[in-house]
Formats: sequence, structure tokens, C-alpha cells
Amino acid sequence: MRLSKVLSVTKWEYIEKVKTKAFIISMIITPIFIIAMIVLPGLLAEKSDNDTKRVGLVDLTDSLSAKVINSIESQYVLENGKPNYNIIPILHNNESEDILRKRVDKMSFEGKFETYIIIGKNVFRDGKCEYRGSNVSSIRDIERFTRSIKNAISEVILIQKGIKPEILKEINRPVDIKSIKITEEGEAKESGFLQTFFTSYIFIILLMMLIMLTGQMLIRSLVEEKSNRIIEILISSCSPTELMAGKIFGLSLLGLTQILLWIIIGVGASISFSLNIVSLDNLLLIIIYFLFGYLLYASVFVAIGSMSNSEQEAQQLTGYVSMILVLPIVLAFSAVQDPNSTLIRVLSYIPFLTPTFMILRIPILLPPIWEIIVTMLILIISIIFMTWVAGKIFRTGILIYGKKPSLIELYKWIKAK
Amino acid sequence: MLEVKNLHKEFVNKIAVNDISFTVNKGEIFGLLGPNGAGKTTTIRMILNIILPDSGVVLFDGKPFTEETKNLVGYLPEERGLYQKNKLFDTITYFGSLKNLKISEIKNSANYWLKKFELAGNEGRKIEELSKGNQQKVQFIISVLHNPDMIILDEPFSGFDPVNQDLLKEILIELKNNGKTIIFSTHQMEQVEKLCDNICLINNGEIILSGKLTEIKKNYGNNSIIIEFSGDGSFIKDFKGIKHCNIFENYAEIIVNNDFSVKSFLDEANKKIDIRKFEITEPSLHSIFIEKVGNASKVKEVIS
Repeated sequence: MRLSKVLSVTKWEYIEKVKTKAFIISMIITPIFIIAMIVLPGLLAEKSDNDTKRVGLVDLTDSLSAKVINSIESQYVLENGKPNYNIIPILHNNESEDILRKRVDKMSFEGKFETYIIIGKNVFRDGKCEYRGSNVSSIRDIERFTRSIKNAISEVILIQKGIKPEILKEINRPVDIKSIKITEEGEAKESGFLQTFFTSYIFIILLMMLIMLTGQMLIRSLVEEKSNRIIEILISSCSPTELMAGKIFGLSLLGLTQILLWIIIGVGASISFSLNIVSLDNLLLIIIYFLFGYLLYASVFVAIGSMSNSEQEAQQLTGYVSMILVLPIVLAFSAVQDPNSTLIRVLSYIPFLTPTFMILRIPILLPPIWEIIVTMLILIISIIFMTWVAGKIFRTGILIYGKKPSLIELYKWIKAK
Repeated sequence: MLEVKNLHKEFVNKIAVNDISFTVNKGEIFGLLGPNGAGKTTTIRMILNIILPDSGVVLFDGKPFTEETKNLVGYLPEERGLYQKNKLFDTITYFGSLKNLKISEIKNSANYWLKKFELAGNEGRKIEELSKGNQQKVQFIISVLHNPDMIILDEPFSGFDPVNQDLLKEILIELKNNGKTIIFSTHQMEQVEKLCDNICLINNGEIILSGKLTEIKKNYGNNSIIIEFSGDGSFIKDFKGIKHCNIFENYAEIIVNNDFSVKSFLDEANKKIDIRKFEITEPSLHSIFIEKVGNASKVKEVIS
């Protein structure tokens, strides 16, 4: 293999692809898309109310409303100092519950308040309450009301049993659990569930996007070269091995450019949004798995591209590849809950799943050193083996036009001297 | 310059090239002829080390053809195509660099050839913006950019208009005069007759005719007759001693055997047609091609 020829191919593959609109657009769009996906739900969920909410309260027990109103109104205050909720007590006339609901629903529609709570008659026994209104989707509101009603109930019960309300306050003091992740080096760092989850998630999505994007580009250019017979001019100038090596290097450079840019955008975004969504522990390890994964899949795409005659034909095959890539995302949630489960551990020893599953596991719970060494070895051997197989398929495939090879034919290509 | 010895290549269920040998001398134009599917392209691919033969060797200047040899050879494949989205000069630079040219060499050479093909000024345009003929010129330029000792052209004339065909012919003769060896494969016998020194005719993967063009024609002897006439020439094909004939509206080319009598033919012809021209000559390569390839397929039919 002559380096000058490999570099010529690398240079062409890199520069001509970096210049394409598809690459430039995706280079910018992808991170924006990912950031939006992560940041938006957070922003929306955390957004506090701007105005005082008016909430009606029907107390069928006639013993809780004062305590509930006091608790809600005094506890929750808006940023501008106004109370978050204005609780409007509604009298009930011992009418039947159906009539009551109809009457108060009507009041709500008339705009006297937005939503209302009915504290059930038997709430001391069965705990049943109702929250009614045209928009009752705020989980935070429900959670706050539930807590206030519960506290009021406890207070009433405790007072009945002769316990002082002061003691109650002490009992109800909230507990604030801070999760602290420890490492062997003894460093302690605050880390939330979401943070570890997103770290795994983001790196896997990035790897997937990167592989699919650059893989498609490689396939497109290979199919073009095949259908235009440019491949014959290329092979009359350099050996197939040199051509393939150049293509894989060019593709890797393309991937690195993309990663670099994403890191810059990512760091920039997290600084400007002051978000700390990604934990960067063991980043180097993640990046190594990332690159190994990338190289492994690059050879797969070389093989797919060289045996396809059209992009459509190639797409069927890349479909399977993306399925393999998506698998860890599907399992990410259960992995976060139990990173040492047998399933997750076993899957991370299957070559094509190793990069993504290790990237999934590392931020959650750093696997033992021996697992890292073994999976790295598996990856390196797989990369060497796959590149060899891809080289064989490439050498024959690029000169076969017309029909898709069968598995038997593929096997013959691989076995050919 | 180039020696091809006993090349043999089989694909699944098919012998593509069967034991082909020929020699191409330095500074000559060599014609590799044959009908579609005869094995020409496969032979060329094996010469260029694009595919490996099952057996046989290719010697270039007495040494086996290796990867290094590829730098000394230029190739124009039969089916044309270039990177459509890329700029002309970038494309030329890429292919030049693959032949180990320095950027300054590429520039000089590209300027020379672009000027010659009246393409100067298009360096920054995308390939897809060029006309088909111009794209083909670019492809030709790529095959000669690195000043190769040997150039292999697969159907170089197809797709060119007559003006450009003449331009290409001139360039080929110029290259030959500069000591370059040219191998070209084509169906267009006219071009072969005008350009080639030696030919090799392949059919069904086997050589059925090879040697110096002038000698081949001489061996066929003066058994070819060209007649220009008006009237109904259909009687000609049934005349005694006609081996093969091509009859057109008012032109016929016939190949005759020993039974043929010029006198009785003229007697007969005078009754049926008005003869404007009657010439006994050596056969055109076209007729030889048709006869050889036609015979072969007839033989095959009989066997099967």
C-alpha cells in the first residue's frame, strides 16, 4: 500500500464531501436538533407561572378548607412576590354531588376561577379528592395540592389525638436527598439521574447520527463511482486496497470534523444556557469507544456501498444497520435503572453493539477495568476482521454491475484469493 | 512494449477470455476488435490489473504489470462518467494526483490539453454543466494527463460528433508520433483502417484474426468487389460464386470465391442494372469483420 495514493483518495473524499451542502447543513442542524430536544422539555417543565392562578375549593368535610387555603397560599409565591395561587372557597348546600359538580363547573366556565378542587366527604377514610377544570394537566399543581391536603388531613387527625401542631411541623419537614456519585479516586460530584441518562443518550444519538450521515455519503459516492464507471479509472490508477483505505480515512476525518464541531457547539450551548446536562467523566474513554465504533461501521458501509448498484438497494441494507444502532437507545432506560443487568452486560460483548452499549454504561456506572479491556480487544479484533472482509467484498463488488450478490456469492468473494 | 500471454478468465458458467496472446509494439496503434460481449473489456481490465486473470501473464516492457506500472498507463473506459457535482479542475487534479503527479505538473498538463480541446476557461465549472461531448473530452484528458507511455482507449470515438472525431484522430496520430503506444478497442472499422498498424479480432473470448492490418487485407486477396449502380440489385446475392455480400440501395460490396466469373457477372449485370462504378479491390475491414464474426456465429449455430 502506497501512502501517497491513499492520501490522494483521503484528500479528495474529505475535501469534496466537506464542501457539500448536505454535510454543511447536517453539521449545523444535527446539534441544534439535539440541543432543542434536550433543552426544550426542560425549559417548558421548569417554567413557572407568571400570574396568580385562581383555584376554587369545595370542602365536603367542612374541616379542612382553612388549613388547605392557608398552606397553599402561604407556601407558593411567584417570582414577583404575588402568591402563586388564589384559593376561592365555595360553599356547598348539602346538595347531591352531581348537582354540586354541575353548579361549580358552570362557575368555572363563567371565569370565576380556572380549576377547582373537591375534597371528598370520606377523605379521611378513602383519601378521595377531585381536581376539575378545562386544563388540569399541570403535574406540579396537582402535586402541590395533594401535599397540602395531605398535610391538612394529618394535622386534623393528630390534633384529634392530642398532638401539638408544632410537632406536626417537625414531622412534615421535607427531606432533601442529594445524590452524589463517588468514584474510586475519591472525588465526589453531584450528579443527577437525568444527567447520567442524558450523557449516555446524547453520545449514542451522536454516534448514530454520525455513522448514518457519513455512511450515507460514502455509499452515495461509491454508487456514483460504480454507475459512472469512474471506479475503473480509479482502479487503473491505484489498488483497491489503497482506494478503500483512502475512503475510510477520509470518512474518519469527516467524522472527526463533525465531532469537533459538535463539541464546540455543545460546550457553547451548555455555557450560554448554563445547562449541565452532560457529565464529562470518562470522556476520553467514551471518545475511544466512539471512534472504534465509527471505524467498525465505516467498513460495513464500504462493504454495503461496493455491492450495491443503486442508493435504494443500499438503503435496504443500511436500514438493518440503523436498527442495530438504535437498540441501545431502546434499552437505555432500563440500563440506567440497572446497569449491571445480565442482558446489558451480555449485549456489550457483541461486536456491533459494543461501542453503543459501552457508551451507554460508562456514564451510568463505570464497568470494571477487565470488562473495558476485553470489550476494547473485541472491538479491535472486529475492526481488523471487518476491514479485511470489507476489502474482499470491495475488490470484487466494485466491478460487478447489475445484480445484487447473494449470500453465497458474497462468501465466494470473501474467500477469493 | 506489452506482451499478453495466454490470458484466461472464467466467470460463473462462462469463459470470458480463452487463452489470448498478443504483442503490442512500442509506438504503434493497436486495434482490439470484436463484437459486443466478445471479451474485449475483460481483456483490457486484465491488462490493467483491474481484475486478475485465472491464468496467463501480462508483461510491460518485459516485466510483469504491477501497481507501479499503473502510473505509466492511461485508460479511458467504455462507459463514460465523471463526478457530476465536482468542478472540472478539481476532478482533473484528483485523477492526476492518483497518477503521482505534482500539482504544478497537473496544472501545466491540464492547461495544455484543455486548450487543445477548446475547453480552456471551464476549469471552475461543475462537470454536470458541461455538454456530453465535453465531458468525454475531459475523460480523455484524464487518460493522457500524466503523459503515459501506453494509452488504452475503449471505444474512444463513440459519442463524438464528426468534427471531434477528426480532432481525436489527429491527437491520436500526434501521440503515436511522440512514441506513445495506443491500444484501442472499437466496433468502428473505418477508424481502425485509418489508424491501426496491428489488429487483433476477438470473438467469444478467442482470437479469430490477428496481425498486421495491411497483411491481413492482402491475405484476403483481391476478392472484394465494389459496385455503384442504379436499378434493382437484388439478383447479386444469388449469383454464382458470391461468398458474402452487402447490398444497399445503389451500392454493393461483395466478396467472391474462385467460382466467380467477372465476365459473366458483368454480362448479367448489364441486363439488370446501370453500373456507374465497378472496382475489384482488397476487402474492407468491415467486410472481414462481418465475415469472420458472422461465420463464427454460424458455426456455433450448427453446433448447437
